Amino acid sequence: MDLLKTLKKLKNIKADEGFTRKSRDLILATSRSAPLNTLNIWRIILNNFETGAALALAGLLIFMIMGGFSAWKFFSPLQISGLDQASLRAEAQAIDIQIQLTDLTYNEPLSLKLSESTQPTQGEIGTAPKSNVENKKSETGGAASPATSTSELSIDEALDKLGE
Amino acid sequence: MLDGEESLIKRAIKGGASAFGSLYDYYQPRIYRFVLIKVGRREEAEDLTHEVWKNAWQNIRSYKSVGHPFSSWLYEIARNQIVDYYRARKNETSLEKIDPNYFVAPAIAEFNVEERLEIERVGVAIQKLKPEYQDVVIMRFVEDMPAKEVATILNKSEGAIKLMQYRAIKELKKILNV
Amino acid sequence: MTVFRTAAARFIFIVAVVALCLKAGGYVVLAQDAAGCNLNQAEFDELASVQTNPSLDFLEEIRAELKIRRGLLLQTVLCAIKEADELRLNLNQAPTINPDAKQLQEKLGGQIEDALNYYKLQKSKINDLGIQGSKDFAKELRVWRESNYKPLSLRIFNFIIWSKNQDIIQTAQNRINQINRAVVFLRLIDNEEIQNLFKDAETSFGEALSENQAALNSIREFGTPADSLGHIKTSLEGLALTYQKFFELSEAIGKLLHTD
Repeated sequence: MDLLKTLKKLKNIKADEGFTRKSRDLILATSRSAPLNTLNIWRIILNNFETGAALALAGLLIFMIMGGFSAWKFFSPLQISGLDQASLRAEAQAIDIQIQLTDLTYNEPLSLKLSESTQPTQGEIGTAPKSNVENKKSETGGAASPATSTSELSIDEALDKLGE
Repeated sequence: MLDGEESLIKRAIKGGASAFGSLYDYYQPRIYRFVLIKVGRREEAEDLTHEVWKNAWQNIRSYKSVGHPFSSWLYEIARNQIVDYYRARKNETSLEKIDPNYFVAPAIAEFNVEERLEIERVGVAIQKLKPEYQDVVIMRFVEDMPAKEVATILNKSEGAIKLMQYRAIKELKKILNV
Repeated sequence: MTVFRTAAARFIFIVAVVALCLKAGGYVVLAQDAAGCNLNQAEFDELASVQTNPSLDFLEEIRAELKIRRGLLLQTVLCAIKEADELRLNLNQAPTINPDAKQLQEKLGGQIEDALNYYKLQKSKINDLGIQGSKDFAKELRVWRESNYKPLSLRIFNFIIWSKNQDIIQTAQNRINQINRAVVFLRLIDNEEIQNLFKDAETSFGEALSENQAALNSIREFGTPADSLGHIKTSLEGLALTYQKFFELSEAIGKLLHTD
């Protein structure tokens, strides 16, 4: 089957002529609803919104119009539109944090040292275990010699050593 | 778009029945097709199409071309009517009794039996797509509307429409096993 | 693509991520907790020193070495159990908003439970091991972790990150809906710049949604963890781009309203 060709064939579909004629005549013969007045305009506009938001928006706008320029200072239309920078920034920050987390996980799949690093190294987290170990504060409280006694091993490092 | 559409619309808004009649003549076939493909049954499609146009005539005064062409407004009414139709059906009958995918190709002289069967298969397959994909398939591939117009009607970007149409066709092919 | 482009801002966020990981335990922590798990290098050094201690005779050396080995193995396995337990806890705490995700969460929970049972079974064998046996045990457990536990933990990692993204996605969706209503209400719908920006935001958001679903499918169908994470990241980048458009919309609308 040539799908696109078949889809084009659907364009040949038309309503029954009798139905079309009858429907058209009936529709055009009916009178329309009451002319638009102020009340109807509000009803139409408000119908497009959820009721609560619509009433709040309408109330705020009236307040702003009546309050003049001084009102805009406190009720920015951008806040109403959901585009106030402060809340957008907060939400964008959350996204950025998540992206950073995927980067961390990507680079060091099992960031075993993630919770042990109280300070990142040169902007990098989750680099080779040894460098994180060297940065770590002593947990035991004993005097540290550079390579050994205060460092902690990962589970895999421990198993490697025990398998030797 | 119909020639002189803007002027027809203005006259229809002022109460010009014959102006509205011209708009009806031009757009009714595609609205009917849109509805029929989505609901599958001729009687329902006729009822719904009638309701769409009745709605449009009753509310033509509220139509403002604020970036939405007339066709876009009509399609919106049609889509809402179809949603209401499915909602009402769900309330009236148990879901098991409704065959969700049903499409009978109208008897059209141009089609032979085989073509008719093929069209029915495709019609049923379209109904299996999600509503947005159905809209894109009908507008782009049945009505052959330009992507820009479809984008305006569905309130999406042209890029999004092109992506949707690609995915919709892919899914259709999967359903039809072609 | 992130909203915050300077190196300083990126650094601050890395610290923020680490702080979050340390504090609320809101994200997965795979590392050993210092309080309950302490694989100290010094104890391993003790093993080496026993092996080279001239004051011990052959038998004493074997006994001492075996004791240390068993002790270290036990500690290591306990650490592994703790690690898996924390992972399970984080998994169970991940918010799930739909039945698909809930089902996947349960499936992954079952698998981490299996891993825990495996560790516990291995732990029960330690006291019967000799020196060579303990070396073989350590090697086998290492191999098992590499081929079983690590892929599972990555999958769970990805699931947890994915599930936390759903809130962010819902927030972005609410924003789009809000903006749409406001743009119509403020009669800005026929402004070409606003229209284009809004459509761009919608496109980016659509792509974010698509990648979000692809990520869930990948995790569910056991795609490679790197692939799943790739989809998650692309989804987040789509969201970041969407917010970029929101910022631009905010500026554009602000200009229009102030010039009206």
